[in-house]
Formats: sequence, C-alpha cells, structure tokens
Amino acid sequence: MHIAGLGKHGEKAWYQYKLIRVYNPRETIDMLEIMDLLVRIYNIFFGASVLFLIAVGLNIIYGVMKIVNLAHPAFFVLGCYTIAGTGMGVMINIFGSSIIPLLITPPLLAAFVVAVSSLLIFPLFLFISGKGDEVQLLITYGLLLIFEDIFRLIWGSEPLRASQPFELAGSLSIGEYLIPVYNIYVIISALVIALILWIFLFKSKSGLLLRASSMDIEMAAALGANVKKVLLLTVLIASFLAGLGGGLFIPSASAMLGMSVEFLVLAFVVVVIGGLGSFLGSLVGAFIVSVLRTITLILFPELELALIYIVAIIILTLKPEGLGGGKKW
Amino acid sequence: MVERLKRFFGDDIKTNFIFLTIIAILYPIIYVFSPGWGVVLGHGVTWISALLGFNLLFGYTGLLSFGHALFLGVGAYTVGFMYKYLGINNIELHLLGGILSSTVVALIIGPIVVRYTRIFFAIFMLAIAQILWSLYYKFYWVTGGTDGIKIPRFSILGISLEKLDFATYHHVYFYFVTGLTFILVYIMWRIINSPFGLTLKSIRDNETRARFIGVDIYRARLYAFIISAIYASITGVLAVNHHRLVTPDIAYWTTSGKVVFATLLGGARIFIGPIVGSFVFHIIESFAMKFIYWQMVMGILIIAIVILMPGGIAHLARTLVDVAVSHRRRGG
Amino acid sequence: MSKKTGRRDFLKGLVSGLVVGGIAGVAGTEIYRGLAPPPPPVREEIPTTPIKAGIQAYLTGGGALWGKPMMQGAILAIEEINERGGILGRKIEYVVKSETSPEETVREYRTLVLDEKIDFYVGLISSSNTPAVGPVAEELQTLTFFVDGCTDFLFESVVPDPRFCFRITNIQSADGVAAAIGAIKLLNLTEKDKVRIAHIHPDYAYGRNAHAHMQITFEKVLGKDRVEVVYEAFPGLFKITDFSPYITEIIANRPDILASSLWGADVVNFYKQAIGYGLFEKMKYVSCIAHAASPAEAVKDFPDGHIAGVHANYFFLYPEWDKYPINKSFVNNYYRRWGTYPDSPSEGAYVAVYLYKNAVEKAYTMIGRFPEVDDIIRALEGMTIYGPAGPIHVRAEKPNKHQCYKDGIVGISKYDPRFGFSVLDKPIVIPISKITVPEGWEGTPDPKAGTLAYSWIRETWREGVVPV
Repeated sequence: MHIAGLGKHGEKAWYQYKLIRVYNPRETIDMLEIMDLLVRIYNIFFGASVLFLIAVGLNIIYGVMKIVNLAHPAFFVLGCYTIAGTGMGVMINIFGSSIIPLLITPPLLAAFVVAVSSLLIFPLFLFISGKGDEVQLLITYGLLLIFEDIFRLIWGSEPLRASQPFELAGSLSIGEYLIPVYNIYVIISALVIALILWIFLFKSKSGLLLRASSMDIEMAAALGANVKKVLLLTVLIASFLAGLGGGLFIPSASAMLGMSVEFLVLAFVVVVIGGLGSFLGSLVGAFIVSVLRTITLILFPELELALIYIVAIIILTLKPEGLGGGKKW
Repeated sequence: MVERLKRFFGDDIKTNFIFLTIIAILYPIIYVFSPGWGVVLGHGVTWISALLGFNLLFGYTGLLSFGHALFLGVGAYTVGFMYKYLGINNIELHLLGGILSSTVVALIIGPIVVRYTRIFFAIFMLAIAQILWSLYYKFYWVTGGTDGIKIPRFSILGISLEKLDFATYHHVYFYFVTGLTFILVYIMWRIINSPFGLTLKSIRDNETRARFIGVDIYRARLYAFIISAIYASITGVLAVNHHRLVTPDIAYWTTSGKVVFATLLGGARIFIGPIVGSFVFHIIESFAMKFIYWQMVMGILIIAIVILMPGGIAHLARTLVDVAVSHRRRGG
Repeated sequence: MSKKTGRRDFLKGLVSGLVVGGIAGVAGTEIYRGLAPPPPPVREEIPTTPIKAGIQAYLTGGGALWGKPMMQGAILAIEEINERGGILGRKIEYVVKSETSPEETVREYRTLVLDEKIDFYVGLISSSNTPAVGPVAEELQTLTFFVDGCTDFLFESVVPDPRFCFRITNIQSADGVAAAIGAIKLLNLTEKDKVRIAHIHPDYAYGRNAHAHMQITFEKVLGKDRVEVVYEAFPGLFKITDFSPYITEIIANRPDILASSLWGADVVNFYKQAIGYGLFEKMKYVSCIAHAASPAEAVKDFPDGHIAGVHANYFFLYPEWDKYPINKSFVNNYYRRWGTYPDSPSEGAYVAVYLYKNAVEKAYTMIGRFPEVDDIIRALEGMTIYGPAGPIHVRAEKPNKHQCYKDGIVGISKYDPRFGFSVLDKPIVIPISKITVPEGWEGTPDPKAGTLAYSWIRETWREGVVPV
C-alpha cells in the first residue's frame, strides 16, 4: 500500500510497526465481546489497585509533612522482595499449602517488615522535614539508590518469585473465559484498605490530627500536637501501606532489580494526575492511569508509556492540582 | 593574600583555568601509564559542560532538574541523525546542530516548565525526559532503538581521524574538548557575573523580593533554562563522539542522576564545582564500577554530601583554607 | 575583578593551557615510544606465561538467566583445558566483567583490553551489545568471540569485513525462521485453511528481528492469503511485570498461534500470568527461545504441548547421549561442576573456548611457534569442530564472515519428571544451511527488516513450499 508523502521510512513505519492498529470492527456485538470488555475492566481494576497501594503512601507523606519521598516505591519493592526472597518460603514451611493463611500473612508480614525498616530511616525523615525541596528530593533520591543495592546485596540479582498463592487461588472460569482468582483478592483488599484508611483519616482522632497537621503544621503544634509524633505516625502508615501493597502484588509477578524506578515513574504519573497529597487523588489517579494503559495497549501498543506521560503533562499544565478534587484529602 | 587564597578555591576564574591546565598536563602522563585512566579523564572533561549548565539552573537560579538527560539526549541524537541521514561527520557541525536543536527544544518546553518551581519543576523535567527517552526507544527504525546509531570517528576542521591509532585519536579528542571547555567556562563565567547572573541569584535567594523590585522572573528563568539546555546538549554531542555510539541510555533518568550527583559532589553554587565534580565523579565511578554496589555508594555519598558537606568538595577546600589561614594567624 | 583583567586572564589561561598541554602531550607520547621495548624476536619456544581470557556476561537483572550459564560454560572449558595441561602448555587465566547497557558494556570491554590486557574474549548475550562492541574490538585489535548477541546486523552492516570478531551461536534470523518452520511442521499448519497469528516480542532489535522473520516464514511457507495477523505488541525488555493487559488483548483477538520471542524474566512472568487466563488452552504458543537458557528456572512448569525453541541452538538432551558421547560428557561435567544442566549459552561459551584452543593448536602445527593473532584468525576461518551440539563451522567468506553455523532444533514442550522442568520433546532438526543465507550469495539487506536473510527468503523461497 503506497502512502503518499510518508517517504521510505514512513512506509516502513506503516508496514512494520503499525502505529495505529487497524481495528476490525465486527458486525454484531456478541456475548464474547462483552466478556472481552469485562475482562479488560477486570484488569483495569487490578492495575489500579496496585497503583493505588503505591501512590496512597506517597500522598500521605506529602499531604501531612510536605515531604516528597522519591524512595517510596522502594518501600513497595522491599515488601515484594521480603516475600519473594524470604517470606514466602517461611510461610509455606509454617502453613503448608493451605490457601487462606498464604493469602493473608505474606502481605501483613511485608507490611510489618517495611514499617520497621522505615523506623530505622526515621531520623533521615526528621532531618528533611521542613527543609527545602531540593534537600528532600536529593536525599530521598539517594535513599532510592541505596535501596536498590540493598535488594541486590540481600537477595541477589536474579528475579525472584512467590507465586504460590497466585497458583493456589487458581482461575475462575466463566463460559470459555478464564481469569486468575488472585487478582480478585488484590482488588478486594485494595478496596478494603482504602475503606479502612478513609475511616481512619476522617473518623478517628489520630486521623484528624494528621489532617489538621497537613493544613497548618504550626497551628496544630500550637494546639498541642507533637510534630515529631505526627511525622512518625505518617511515615509508619505510609510505609506499612507500601509494604502491604508489595506483599499483595508479588505473587502475580516477579521481584526484579530496577523495579523501584519503574514504579516511581508510574507512581509519579498517578500522583500528578490525581493530585499530590490527596487521598481521593490516589484513587482517581490510579484508576485513570490504569485505564490509559489499557487503552493505549489496544489502540497504540507502540506508544504505551509515552502516551501516559503526555497525558500527565497535559493535566499538569491545565490543572496543576490534579483531578482529585483539588482540595486536600 | 588571604583573600586571594580564599577566592582561589571558589569563584575565581583563574582557579578554573589553572585546574584545567593541570589536568591537561597530567593527561598524557596518566595515559602512558594506564590508557584506561586516560579515557576516564576524557569522560571527565566531556561532562564539564553539562554540569556547568545544570549548575546554572540549580546553583544560581534555584531550579533543581531531575531531567537534564533530556538535553544530553537531544545533543546526542542530533549527532546521530546528522550522521545517519546527512552523512555529516564534522565535529563543528555536530556542535552547531546540537546547539540549534537544544535551543529549539528548550524554547518549546521552557515556557511551560519554568512557570513551576521546586518539586513540580524537578519532576516535570523528569517526566519530559522520560517521554523523549521512551520515544527514542520505541521509534526503532529512526533511532536504532536500544542498538542505537553507530558513528565513525569525527573529523575536525575537515581532517579525518580514521587512520590514527586509538591513542593518538584519543589525545586529539581530549585536547579538543579541553580547549572547547576553556571557552565554555569563560562564557559561563561572564554570564554569571553579568547583571543577568545577578538577577538569577536574586531570584534564587528571594523570589518574592525579586518580583517586588520588578524582575521578570519568568523570562530570566527561561533564558537560564535555554543556556542550561545548550550546555547540556554540548556534552551530549561530545559524549557520543567519544563512545561513537548513540543509544537511549544517554536520555535515561540515571544520566540525570549522574549530572545532579557530580555537581553536588564538586560543589553546587560554586563556580569551580562542576569542573571538580566532573573529574572526581568519573574517577570514583571508575573505581566503584569494580565494586558491585556502586549505586549504594552513590546514594550514601549524595545523602552525606547534602547533610554534611552541602557545598561539595569546592566548599570543603575553601573551608580548609579558612581553617589553615586562621591557624596561621593564631601563630599555630 | 574588572572586565579587562578577566579577559586577559582568560587569554593567558587559554594560551598557556593549550601550549603547555600540547607540548606535554606530544613530548609525552614521543618519550613513551622511545621508552617502549622493541617487539621480541621470533623464537621457536612457547612462552610459559598464562593466556588471559576476558569473559563478559549478564550477572544481574533479567538477563542473568543467560549470562550466568554463559560464564559457567566458559569457565568449565577453561578448567578442563587447564586440567589437561593448558593450551600448548600455557594455562588460561580469566577475568569476568559484567554486561549491561551498550555504553557501559563497551567501557568494560575497553578496560579488559587496555588494562587487563586479555589475549582473547568470550562474551555477550545481548544483541544491543555486540554491534556496540564489535567495532571497538576491531579498533583495539583483540580476538573476540561473541557467544550470542546474534543480530544479523553485526556482520551484515556494522562489521561487514571482520578480522577479530567471531560469533558462535546461530545468526538471529535463523531463530525466528526455525521456530516458524518447527511450528508449521509440528502443528500441521499446512492443513489449515486460515491461520490467525498474534505476536508478542520484546521491544528491541532481537524482538523486532524475530517478529519479522517468523512472520515472513509463515507467509512464504503457508502462503500470504492464508496468514492473518490479528495482534502485535512489543513490551519493553524487562520493563513490564504485569502482562495481564497484553494477555487479555491477545486472547480477545482469538489467534490460532501466538508467536513470541519473550525471554528471561519476561517469558517467566508472561507464561505464569497467562496460565491464569487460560491462554495456553486457547492457542498454541510458539516460542523461539524460551527453552534456551536456564530451563530449570525459566520453564519449570511451562505448559505441555506448545512449540519450544532454543534460539536455534542447543538443548542438553540432543544429540542423544547414547549416540553422541561429546554431548554426554559435556552434560555430565557441567552438572558435576555447577549443579545445573547446561543450556544454549553455556554450550556456546564452552565451544568458544575450545574453538580458540583448536585454532591455536592448528596454527602452531602450521608455523612451528606460538601463533600471533593473525595466525589464529587464519586457522579459525573455515574450521569445523565437534561441540556438544554437533559440528560447528566457522564461515570464512562473506556474507556473514566469521559467523558460526550449526544445525538448530525445535520441539514440543513437555514436563519431564526426571529433571523437574519442561523439556524439548519430539525434536526436529532444522538444517542450518536451508534457513540461512549461503556463502557467496549476493544481495542487499531488506530495507524493512534490515537483514540479508529476509531478502534471501523473500527472493529465493518458493511460496507454499516447506523448505526443510
């Protein structure tokens, strides 16, 4: 097919790389089509759940303490590695192959380990809170690099898996379709976590403390809040969530070096679209990014990541507060 | 005398020239004993331009960019395309092309990006850099993808360097870049010490006050951005000629990290910082590459520098001079 | 400081710097040349100093599944040779460096040559790295055996007239072609009216190459009107951990076969997730490479009944041990030394070292002294030796000069309880001469796919005929 004006390279592009896939419309929409769509939606929710679990911790730290923690995805990955490298083996020794404990305990173990680790780094957070943005960015960036090599130091450089819960959960068959059951578990967990978090933030005294501190830390301190305690609580919650997310996610994939940065890049897009520091924004951003990913994979598989970034920049330009409602929380 | 010594380790242009001259003299000696280290010096001198540009934005204007690899990539791929589609091999044209294209890109991105500061600016730059990186990666048939574009040895003043053995070729490269760096350092020095430079510093120190006295912050930042972009792309042009390979890696966020780290190491906000930083960084990198946990070392050093030595090595040197001087004064 | 002083300082600095630097540079090089010892006179005695080998492999990340076995194969060969007295009495020492991105890999290669002063080099898996290192190897004049990094571009466009570079494993285009032919024969695709094909390949040179050659083989052998491409995706290499969106899209397009060159951590993630979606029941997976490296980790519980490829190279069960003792002893020795079974990269690196040994010994018998690099190169060209995978031949003429050729195999995946992982069953041998551009063929690389093989297939293969 000769396409005028594209020239030799353009034609090569058209033939070989099919930037825009020619979508063959089918005459009738049948049951299978609907099933296709449902499976896609199922995947969107799964992807969004994972992204939410990473982004929400980032937003909490920023929202309350105005700290941009570039190392936050590393907490998530630490959760992944804890389970894939050590935790899952231990759990299997204890529980054998019974599925319920294997679903629940690894994420909790991961969350616990990550939260404790964050305690070790807490003095660093104390140092950077209140300092200029450059200091925060640089120090958390350094932390990210250190984490990456710690993973290599402790767990080696080969990809690690912890897929037993995923395999044990099996697949659900709907007609001639099969979907992995484990992903349903992740989606539900994410929703439950979101709910618990919401209750905590909006209905509990500590949550009120956090939200008040986020709006005006000096005022909150004047009214008796202990700033250090607030920071500690924030960091613990954020890292706990990240570890929980890592432990939930890992059975469906592998833990590899370089994951922290890949997730940082995605988490950043989520946060930009949803609004930095906003709880609602984490949900909205995660969902939108997941939808974008699926759409680009259907229509423009070539441009996948680039398209997501372009959308992020457009949103950042038009509405810098993000789509999460703009106001705090 | 004391004052001159103090200024020596800081913002004095003479120090910079002397430092570069010393390196230029040491280079052939080092190369004879270990060509590997000679090549490391070559890396060191190549990256001074990018660090100068970065420091202009960060140290003197207060804008931290985590996406400077963007402009290194622009310079690099300009060279790649110039060779691949136009067959151009001359380093002078490469440099010209790099300057032009980075100016264009900076003019497109700049107006959007310099409206934001601090976190948003840093992350914005990272995002745009990642977009371009992913485009270099995906548009395989144009950019060569991860294979990249291989370029032959550059020709200088029209003279081809193909016939030379590797050592001589590298000497030519090194002295050419050093000479170029002298010029670039001088230009940057003039910029920073001009009224424009003072404007930038005033924006960095107190934005509100600057706006009060009528400074057009937006425009000043934009100009600094463009200059920074040009300097970064020059390093891109030189680096790919040094390696003879144009790959998307030069546009990846790790390259941005290198730029940030090396400048910090040498001393941000101090004029000689980038020059010192470039050499020290590449020397450390050479050692550390043999040590497998290089990223951890870099991370620890970044944190240590930010907390303990925010002025980097240059500042440390200055402080040492102060201490030595005050000791002498006390008669110790 | 006043402007005048600044300018004067600048001029002073510039001129003095350049003059001093320039004089020092020229003087230094001259002094060095004068001081350097003259080349040693030609003697009949063989030096007793050890031979130094440089090994470069993926030690980290997604490619470690290939890099580690590669390194282990080379080390095994070196240890075996040393045990039997070395090459002409000289033992071999080795240094291992890491393979990463092209830029870094080139830097490490330069260190090996300039600082470690290696005599020969064995390394590289990635097709992004061989085209980067190739020209440098020629420039630095070091005998270099690329184990993999089998991209056609290396000897077709980047280094068309190599002197110092050689490559052991089969050329990349053969990989896709072999897998496609294997699929056609093993799945009886010639009997189907229409074949719907989906593609998923990693987004870099190898993935693109595999895609192009699998596709054209299907089109030529089955006939263009019989083949319909329903979906294509190119995820980044080792960048995606969650393949579920791709899996869903592929299934939604209802292909008969899924052609894929995913490897390393990618294929493991992919197939484990795909099982959950029932992908393997809905179509046949045609992998040109999944079984090629570290099968114990890579394809531990890979589903049975799909087309398994080994990068058109080696699988440890074939040639069968009772018929071919060289393979049997290699597998035994490798297992004893490393505790795992050898695979394509291990065999390739192993053969590389033995190729070097054989060439040195052959050259020695011809000239009577320990050979220089050029003598070794001359001995290598046209040589055939018997490696664990069978006979391997070093091509002496263009096109693809210095590329090695051996027959490839493709089979059906089957879990073998003896080993605890999926193996290649019902293998068919694909004679390499039938699927690669022959010596002396004159043609130009295809502008779309970039390889000679593509042009050769397009121009010389008859449509509708299975060439093997």
